[in-house]
Amino acid sequence: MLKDITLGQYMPGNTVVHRLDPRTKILLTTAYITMIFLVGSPLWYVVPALYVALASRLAGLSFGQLLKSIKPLRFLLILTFVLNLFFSGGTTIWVHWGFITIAKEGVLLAVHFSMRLIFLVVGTSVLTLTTSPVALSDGIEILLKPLKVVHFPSHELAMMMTIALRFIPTLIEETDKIMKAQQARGADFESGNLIARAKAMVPLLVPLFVSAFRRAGELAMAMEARCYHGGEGRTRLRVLRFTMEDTKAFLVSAAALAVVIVGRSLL
Amino acid sequence: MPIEVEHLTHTYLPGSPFSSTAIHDLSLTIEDGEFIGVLGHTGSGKTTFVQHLNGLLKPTEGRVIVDGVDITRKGVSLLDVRRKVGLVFQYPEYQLFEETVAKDVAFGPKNIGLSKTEIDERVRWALEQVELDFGEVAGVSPFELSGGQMRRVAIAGVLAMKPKTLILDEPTAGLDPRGRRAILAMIRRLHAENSMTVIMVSHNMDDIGPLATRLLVMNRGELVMEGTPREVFRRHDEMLAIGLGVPRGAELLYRLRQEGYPLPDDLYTLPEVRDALLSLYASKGDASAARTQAADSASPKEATPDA
Ligand SMILES: Nc1ncnc2c1ncn2[C@@H]1O[C@H](COP(=O)(O)OP(=O)(O)O)[C@@H](O)[C@H]1O
Ligand SMILES: [Mg+2]
Repeated sequence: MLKDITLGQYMPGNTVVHRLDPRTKILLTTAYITMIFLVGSPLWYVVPALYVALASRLAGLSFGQLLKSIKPLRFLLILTFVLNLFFSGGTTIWVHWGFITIAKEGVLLAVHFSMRLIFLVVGTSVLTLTTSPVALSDGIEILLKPLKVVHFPSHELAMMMTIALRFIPTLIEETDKIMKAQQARGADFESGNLIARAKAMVPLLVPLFVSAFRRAGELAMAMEARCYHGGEGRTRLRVLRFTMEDTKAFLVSAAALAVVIVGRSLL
Repeated sequence: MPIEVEHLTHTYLPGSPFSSTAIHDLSLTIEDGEFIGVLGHTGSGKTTFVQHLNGLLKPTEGRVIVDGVDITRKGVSLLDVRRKVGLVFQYPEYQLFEETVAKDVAFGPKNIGLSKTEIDERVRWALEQVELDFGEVAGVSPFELSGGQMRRVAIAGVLAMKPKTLILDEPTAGLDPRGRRAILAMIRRLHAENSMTVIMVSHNMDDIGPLATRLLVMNRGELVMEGTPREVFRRHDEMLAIGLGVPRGAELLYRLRQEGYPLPDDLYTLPEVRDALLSLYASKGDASAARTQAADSASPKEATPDA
C-alpha cells in the first residue's frame, strides 16, 4: 500500500534543463503558467505544446513520464470535460438527444479547460522532474529574499521545506514499521466501514506523532549544537549563478510568450 | 506447531530501480519447543526473515507453512496466524499508543475478539509475565514509564495474545546492562515455563549463546550456518569473516589456542571455560605461565550468563 506513494518525482540527469539555475526554472515556469492562462482559443495551445515538447526533449524526458504526471488528475479532468460539455449552454446546437444537449460552444469550452489543466500539470512537472527538491527550495529562498523588507521569513520557509522533504521518506518508513507492529497484534487497517477504518488509524497515528515530535526535538538540538542560528550571515555551499544557458532559456520563453499574446490580440 | 519455510526469497520493491533481494532461497523447519537464535550482521535479512513467519511480509518466492497451513496462500486468516505466532518488533516501545498500560496490552486480545473478562485476565497474566506489577502500572500512561518498562509493556502486548511461538527482534537493543539482563532472564523463563517456541534475533553472541538450542547464522540474505551454539561457535574464523563474533568464553579459548595452549575449541559457557583452564593449569608443569592465564579468565569483567 505504501509502495505506491512516489515522492519528489525528481529524475537525476545532466541535461541542459537539469543544469539551468533553479531560479530560472521557477521564473520560467511562472511565465509558462501565465502563457497558458493567456491562450485565447484551443488552437493556440500549439504554442505551449511546442514549448513543453522542446523543454522535455532537451531534458530527456519521455512522453510516458509526462503522461504519468496527469494520471492522478484523471478524474478531475473527466469531470471538467463533462461539466463544460453539457452545462455551458450555447446557441449552435450540434447534438440534441433527449435531455442531452451538446452545443459547439460547450465542446470548445470543454476542450479549452481540459487542455489548460493538462498543460498546467505537464509543464510544472517538467520543473519538478528536472530540479532536485533542495535546489528548488534554494531557488525559492533567493527569489523570495526581496520580501525581507516586509519581514517575510524566506530563509526559514526554505529551511522548513528542506527539512520536511528530508523527513518524508523517514516518516514513510516509520509508518510502515508501526503499521506492521500493530498488525502483528491483530490490527486491521484494510477492512470495515469508514468509521471503523478511521478508528483503526489511532494505533498508527499516535506513535507516529510521538516519534515525529521526538525527532523534531532531536533535530533542533543537533542543529543548535552545530551553531545554527537562522539565515543571518549564512553562506551557501552551492552558490547559484546564471549562465549563458539561462539567458538563452529566457529568450526562448519570452518569444513563446510574445507569440501567445499576439495570437490573443488577433482573435 | 512446526513452522516450515520452503525456498523463501524476498525482494523489496521488485521491478523498480531500487529493488533489492533481502532473502535468498532460505529453507528450514522450526520444531515445537525450540529456542532459535537468528544471528547476522546488520542488513543480513534477519528482520525480513522473521516478518515472513507471521505473514507480515509475503514471499516473492517460496512458502511458509505454519501449523500445516500455507500462510502465503490467498484467503488464509492472518489474524489466526498472528495469534499463533507473536512478533515483538525491534524497539517495540515505539508502538505504544493507548492512554493506559492496561488498555495498550489489551489491544491484541481485543482484536482477536475475546470477552471482556478474558481480556482482563490476559492483561494481568501478560504483565505478570514481564514482571510488572499490575496494580502499579495498569492505570498509568505508557509514555510516563522508563524505557525498559515501556519495552516490557510492549512485550506484554504481544504475550497477551498467548502465541505458541514468540519471535523477538533484537529485544535487548539499546538497553542498559541491567535492563538487558532482566529481559534475557524473562525470555528464558517464558521459554522454560510456558513451553513457548522462541525465536530471538540478535547480533550479540553473549546474549544468545546461553539461551538458544539452535542457531541460524545469516549473511547477505542467505543462511550460511546452522547448528547448536557449540557447533556454530567453534567456527570462529567464519563468524569473524561475516562481521560477527563468538561469546567471550570461546574468544578467550581461541586466543589462548593461538598462543599455543592445548585447549578445546567447542566450549563457550563460563563454567566450562573455567574448568578447561583449571585443568590446563593443574596439568601444566610451567606453573607461573599457566597461573597468569587462569587468573585473567577467572574474573572476567562481566560474567557470561551461564547455560
Ligand atoms: N522496507 C524495505 N524496503 C526496502 N529495502 C529494505 C526494507 N527493509 C529492509 N530492506 C533491505 O533489506 C536488507 C535486509 O534488511 P533487514 O531484514 O532489516 O536486515 P537485518 O534485520 O538483518 O538488519 C537490507 O539491505 C535493507 O536495506
Ligand atoms: Mg533488523
